[in-house]
Amino acid sequence: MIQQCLDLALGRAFTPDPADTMVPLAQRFKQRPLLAVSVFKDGIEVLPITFKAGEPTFGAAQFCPSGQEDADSDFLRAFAERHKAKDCLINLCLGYTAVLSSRTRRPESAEEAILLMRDNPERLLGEPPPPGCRNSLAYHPTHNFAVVFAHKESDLSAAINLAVKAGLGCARIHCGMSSLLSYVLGHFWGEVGKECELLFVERSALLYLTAGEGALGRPLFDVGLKEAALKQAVEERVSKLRPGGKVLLVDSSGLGVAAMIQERGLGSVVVTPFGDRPQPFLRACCSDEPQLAYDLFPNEREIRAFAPGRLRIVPLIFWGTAAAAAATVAVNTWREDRAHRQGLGLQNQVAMLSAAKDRSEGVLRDVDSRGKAAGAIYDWLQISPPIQSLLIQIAAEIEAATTDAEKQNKTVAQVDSLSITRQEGQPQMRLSIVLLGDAPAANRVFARLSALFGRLGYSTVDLKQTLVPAGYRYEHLLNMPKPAGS
Amino acid sequence: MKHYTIPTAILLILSGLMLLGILKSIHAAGAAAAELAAEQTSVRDAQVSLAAAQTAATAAQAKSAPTDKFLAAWNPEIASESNIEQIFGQLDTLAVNNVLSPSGKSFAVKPNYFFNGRQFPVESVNITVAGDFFRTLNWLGAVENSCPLARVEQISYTNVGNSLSLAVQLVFPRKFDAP
Repeated sequence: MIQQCLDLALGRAFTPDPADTMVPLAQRFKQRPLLAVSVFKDGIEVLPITFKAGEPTFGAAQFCPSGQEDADSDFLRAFAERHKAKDCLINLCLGYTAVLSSRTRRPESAEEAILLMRDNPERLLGEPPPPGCRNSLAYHPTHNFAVVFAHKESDLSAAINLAVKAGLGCARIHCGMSSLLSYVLGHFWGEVGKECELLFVERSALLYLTAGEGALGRPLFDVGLKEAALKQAVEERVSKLRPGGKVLLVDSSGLGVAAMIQERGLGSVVVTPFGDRPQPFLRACCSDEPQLAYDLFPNEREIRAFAPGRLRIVPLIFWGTAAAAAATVAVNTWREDRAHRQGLGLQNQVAMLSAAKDRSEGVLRDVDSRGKAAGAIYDWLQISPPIQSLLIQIAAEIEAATTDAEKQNKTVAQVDSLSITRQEGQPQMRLSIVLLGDAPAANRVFARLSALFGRLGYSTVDLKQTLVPAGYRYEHLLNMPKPAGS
Repeated sequence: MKHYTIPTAILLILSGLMLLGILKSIHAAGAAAAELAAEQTSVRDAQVSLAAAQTAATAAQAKSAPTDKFLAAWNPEIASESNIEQIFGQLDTLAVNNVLSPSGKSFAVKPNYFFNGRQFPVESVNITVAGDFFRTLNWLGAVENSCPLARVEQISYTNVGNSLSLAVQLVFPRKFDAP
């Protein structure tokens, strides 16, 4: 799962596994070299294949005859190294048989055809496969007829071992004749018409059958022939062609089969669907149209799954988000750090400003404190007027009262005692005076004193007059004059 | 497709998590920017407060010049009148100078003397002098002149036989602390 996640994220998943038979061959080898190995009875023919726009292009072929042990694998390895190829397409040109069957079933999809033919061929063949054989099918386009090719597993294994010995992976293993028949039935059915004879000739084999709108004839084939035998077999087959009939010919043998047919002069119409295009058998092996091609590889292979193109958005989203996350997180982390640094600087500024403000407020408090202290001293001085001047004025009033009484021949009073007491906590003063004498004399003196206090701004709060031996005591509670504003 | 369903889901989930990380990062950066803006506002407020406080302090200092001058004049007086021995000696000297006979000196410390709605510590000094009335007046004037902060709390003239006795209670402030 982790590997698949990595493959998907890194885009490797969109490059198909070379051995993934579920992916068309042209797509698998769009950007990588592929070798075609045609296995004949007397040797192998190898050539490079490249795909351009889904169409195969074939390079120059080299033939390696069967010889000493491992000679063909060494040849194949050297050829592969020259072309930097790591995979091959095996075209099996030997050891097959072909029969017509009406029991076959069409698969519902190309994928099912591949899987069923590998794992459960009976469901497609309609009967158990011959022991030791694997099959391939070429279906009639419209009817349930099919030509069933049987291939010996030993031949398949030998071909695969050859590729393995050469260090090559087996991308596809086909029977060229079977593939060509399927290809022709699939692509050139229009050329067949009402009835047609199909004649396929390659380097060491030929296949003949009749095909029509509603039927397929019994396939006749010769495999593993040398050139002379092949020529003889072709001549025999050509001689048996129907006069005036249509022949759909595919000839890659180099024997000039079309010319042979024309030389007979029976008016046969020869159709060569591939024209001058080379390697018709390999072209058919490389084709996945109209259906995904079959594969004769006998075992299940472990392949890396191929992600469809519509999932390409996933790694784009992933890496886009990752890049955006990296960029955003980096930028925002930098912004956050810078904001924190600036914030710390601003906090220091606030602390310094607060300290300066505290100092200013301290100055204010100090000024206020000094102002209050000065006010207190001022009030103290204002509410504590000198007592000497008050006593002098009191003495002057008493003296004046005495002088007035003497002038008017009235009795005079004599001061026995005098006290002035300030009331703590109150702006008040208590005058207590004892005057000896009769009441009128004492009252005259006290009246002058009261008048004096009135002139000085004192106001009476309480006044008591009590009798003492030979005189009177006056207790006068006064409000102090209000001091001038500070 | 089926092979890559779970990897696709995992990659999309990871993408979602990274998207959340982006959002969280943006949110954190926004919060930091908001904090920075708040700090900048705090700095501006502190600058305004400081300017106001400095202006007020400068104005207050300018306005307190008369106060400072007043305190500079009176603080030494408070200091000099806080020594009771010195006060007693001064009162005796002034009494003798005015041909008065001092007696009965005593003092007491009142830590919470109540005056004009405030409390502060004072020294209360009692002294009695005997002699002629006018000389006692002169003595009182001399005391008030030499100790201008002394507050005459109480005076009491009484005749004792042929002599006049003056009992005086003076209050000396120790300090004028602000309340």
